[in-house]
Amino acid sequence: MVIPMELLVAGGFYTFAAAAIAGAISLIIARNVFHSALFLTLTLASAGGVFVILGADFLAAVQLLIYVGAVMILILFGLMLTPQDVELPNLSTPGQAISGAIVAAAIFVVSAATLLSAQWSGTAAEPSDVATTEQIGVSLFTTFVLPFEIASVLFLVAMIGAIVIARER
Amino acid sequence: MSFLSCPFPALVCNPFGLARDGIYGLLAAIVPEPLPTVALTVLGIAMLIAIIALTVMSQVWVERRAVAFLQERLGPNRVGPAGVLQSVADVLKLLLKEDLIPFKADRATFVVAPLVVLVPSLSVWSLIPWGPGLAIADVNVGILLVLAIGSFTTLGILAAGWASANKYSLLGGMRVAAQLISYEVPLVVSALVPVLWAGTASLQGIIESQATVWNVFVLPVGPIAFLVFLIAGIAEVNRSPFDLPEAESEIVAGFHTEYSGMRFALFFLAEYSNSLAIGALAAVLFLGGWQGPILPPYVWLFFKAYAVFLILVWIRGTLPRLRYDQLMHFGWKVALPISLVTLGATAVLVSAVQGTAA
Repeated sequence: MVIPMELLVAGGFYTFAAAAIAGAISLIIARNVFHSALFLTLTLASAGGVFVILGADFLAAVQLLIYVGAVMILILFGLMLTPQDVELPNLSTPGQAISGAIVAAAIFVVSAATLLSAQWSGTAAEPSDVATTEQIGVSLFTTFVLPFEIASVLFLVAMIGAIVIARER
Repeated sequence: MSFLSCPFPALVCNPFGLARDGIYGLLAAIVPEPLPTVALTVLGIAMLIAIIALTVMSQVWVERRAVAFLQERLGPNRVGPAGVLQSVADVLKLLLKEDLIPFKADRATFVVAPLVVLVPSLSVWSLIPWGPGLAIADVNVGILLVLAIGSFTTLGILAAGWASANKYSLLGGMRVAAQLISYEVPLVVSALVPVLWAGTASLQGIIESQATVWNVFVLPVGPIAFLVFLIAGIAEVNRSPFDLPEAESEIVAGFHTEYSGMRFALFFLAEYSNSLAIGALAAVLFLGGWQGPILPPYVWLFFKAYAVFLILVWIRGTLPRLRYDQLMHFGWKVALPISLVTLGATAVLVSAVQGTAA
């Protein structure tokens, strides 16, 4: 009995993909906001696992470091400041469920049609064994230096804005 | 490579490598690839967890004795010779204790939280190299992955504090979140100094770049980066003087107030494992990793990691706890600027060195 490497890779992929989807579904179903946030973490971390399988090691590490290590912590931090047993007000109007279902179905049909009609190349791209860190660094400072700088300035503006808003109190 | 300087028989110098190759040879004869590799990885992980668990028990005893010595007390000295079996007695006691879950607690989150803290703190060890070619996983973004996995701990502590439905736990959890976010930044930035110096983020690569001189002795940036890394590391593992998340005099026991028995022990295990992991990381990044004369590499790494842990114990026995605003002030206004300046200076130095070499 020979177990090919592809099977292990596929098994890893489907595990992470299933975890990501389960997390996303639970995130919406969960009644408790804190639980939703924890399920979102599961989804984001599983996406990091998928990156590992694709050979994008730098992206995987950064995904965990930024999303789990910083973004989710801040979200949870905010949620902990809100009282636990507050019932969220029911803002929906009677017709909202129907219109919501129609919009959701429309989005599903469009994305499913796109996925089914797209021309997929028959073979999966080979995961590169080359270290991606250096390539990403070089392309950020040469080809994509303008978008990179614009994004940095945008972050700076957002940060200054947040400080100004927080100080006004 | 300095590994060759080990003068003892190969069985002493590289027992883990020999065992790995031997078992691999045996398995490869019976079952096809990749089963031997998978089995060997699982075996390695199991062995590593056992070693870490035993080391944590020794750490608890060493810390209690050392702090007692610093405070002119005796410390635990009744169970076994000089009290060395005290930790065994403690573990047995914790195993037998009633496992309480508060009535109003969020059960699922309460149960999962200690695991979210423990599993990453053990996973980190799979990336630490114990000798040339001797790591369960040698990835080329090693240092980033170690820090990324380490950040899961915060999540578990936050969840534990929230799920306990206790205001002291909640406050403890909030303090941890704020503290870990604040100190993760200088930690990562100062860990990047050796990365720049080595030109790679792989832990093995960083160790090999220190063959002639350890990073901590690379003047002028090495000692500063090491100091910032050590201070931020102490804050990351919530040890005194940065143990505000569990400040007894203010918020009972912080996030683990409501935890008892084995669940409490899991937090403890994670904390000591993390302390040693910070020591191992400091050794890898700044103290030459497994490199050293005469003794086998795995002994050197263990020795260096434990030495850094002893420094943490010494600091704990010496310094009073910081106030919360002092903690934040130091993190953002002292540690972060220093680490950024150090990183910038390293970048200039590295490009200057490369400029003259090219």
